[in-house]
Amino acid sequence: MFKIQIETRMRPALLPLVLIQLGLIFSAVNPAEAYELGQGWHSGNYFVSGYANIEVINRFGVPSRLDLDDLSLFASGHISQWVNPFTEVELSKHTLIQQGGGAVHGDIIIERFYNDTLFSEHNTLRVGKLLAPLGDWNLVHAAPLIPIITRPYTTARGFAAYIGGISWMHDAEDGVTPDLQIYAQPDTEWFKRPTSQTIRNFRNVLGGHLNLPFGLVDKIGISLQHGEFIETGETFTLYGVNANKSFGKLRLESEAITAHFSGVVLPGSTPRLHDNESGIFGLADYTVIPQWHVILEAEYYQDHTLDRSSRNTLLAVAYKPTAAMIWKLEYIHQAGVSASMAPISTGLKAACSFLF
Amino acid sequence: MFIFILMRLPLLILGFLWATSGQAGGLLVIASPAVPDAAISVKQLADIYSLKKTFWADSTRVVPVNREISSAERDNFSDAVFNLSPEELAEYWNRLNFQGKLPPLVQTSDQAVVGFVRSVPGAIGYVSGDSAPKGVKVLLRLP
Repeated sequence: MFKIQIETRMRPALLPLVLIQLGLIFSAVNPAEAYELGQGWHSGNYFVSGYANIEVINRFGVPSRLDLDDLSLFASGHISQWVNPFTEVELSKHTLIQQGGGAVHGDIIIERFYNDTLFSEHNTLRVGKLLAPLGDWNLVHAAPLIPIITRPYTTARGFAAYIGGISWMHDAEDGVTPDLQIYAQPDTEWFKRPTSQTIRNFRNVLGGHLNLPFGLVDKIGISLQHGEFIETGETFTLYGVNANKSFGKLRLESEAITAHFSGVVLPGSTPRLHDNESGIFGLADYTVIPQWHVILEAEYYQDHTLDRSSRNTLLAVAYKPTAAMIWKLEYIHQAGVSASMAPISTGLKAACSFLF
Repeated sequence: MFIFILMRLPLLILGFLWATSGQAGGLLVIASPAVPDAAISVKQLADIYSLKKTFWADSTRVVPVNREISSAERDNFSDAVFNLSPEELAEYWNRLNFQGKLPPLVQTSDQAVVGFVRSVPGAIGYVSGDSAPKGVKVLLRLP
């Protein structure tokens, strides 16, 4: 029944991409290579991997459910200096079991689809659909790579998280000067995500991100994005900062954004109550004993279309038996508005995520 | 009999220590004979395994090879080059993997690493021991 639902909902154009990825998965693995969970599969110049995320959600006042939140496959090829394709296809937010019956069928989405041209070891031109380098979270948002289940609004809500267009990436050679990525989306998002996945869509987007790494984990970044909010006709200019810092067993992470909205709101669309939309979150991840983490997170977010802000705090426990797998249990308390910002509301969540 | 064993105990301890120190010997960083570099620094090695350096001087793609995460060699390598645990490095590679970069390939023995490095142009790996295996070049010795 599950397969039938996917087939009937899948657009014909997506079928070849899924079949290619499945074919690569089941193609011969290099015989000299051992498989480790999260390692993916190599076949010549091609590489396939992915991840799965299963969630149990028990929000107060809402039926509990078990979701296949993400089943994602990504495939890449390193063919020449000019041809280095990458694609990620995902089955997203498919409800497996819901208290009292009913079901929400997932969507097949092309998350990313691009080609990299390597002009030098440190300069790459990327063309296609890509993740916007805005903050750190958006670039590594896969469930097995992040410590909590509930994604902060600050990391996704106020900007174009996906870009359909062109991007230039410069990695600093000396490790002292910052890495730079600039991008442009001349029109709307390619392979647009369904409305069940995103409440906002953007066009004519320009942006840039500076990232200054300190070692492999610690970093500071600043971001800029300018674009047009399709649903309301408003234009926005957003500034963001992000920072990661580790102190032994303690890892701290924070991102903040502020966006200024202007222009006349289209008739019939949600009115603008504030000219600015701002958010900040802070997260502390402490390794109590190896593989066991306690995480505390707090966020403030003021949406420009809502009168009240969202103020949520989260306490979580995570168990990481391997680097490719994580079990999470978290309680989130929403103290501010939540009705129009449905993803974050008071309740319990549990999840199991793994890379393959 | 007891005295016989007691007299030989220091020799047994010395023998154990010698054998243990032999097993915990350094690592040799080896590369394909086709690689143009004759030697590399620890910084260059870190750049390769952090996937920042992806091409050799002759534009051949660098193919880094890892041992399995549970191996003593990978533990020693992670500590000597990055001062991180294998798990911390694995998390780093997982993040890059999600961003479309290939993590190092895994081989499960010194012999497999040597065989892979010998046959794949651009390959680089590490093995335990002090003497250079045949058919590969040694770029660096790690403690």
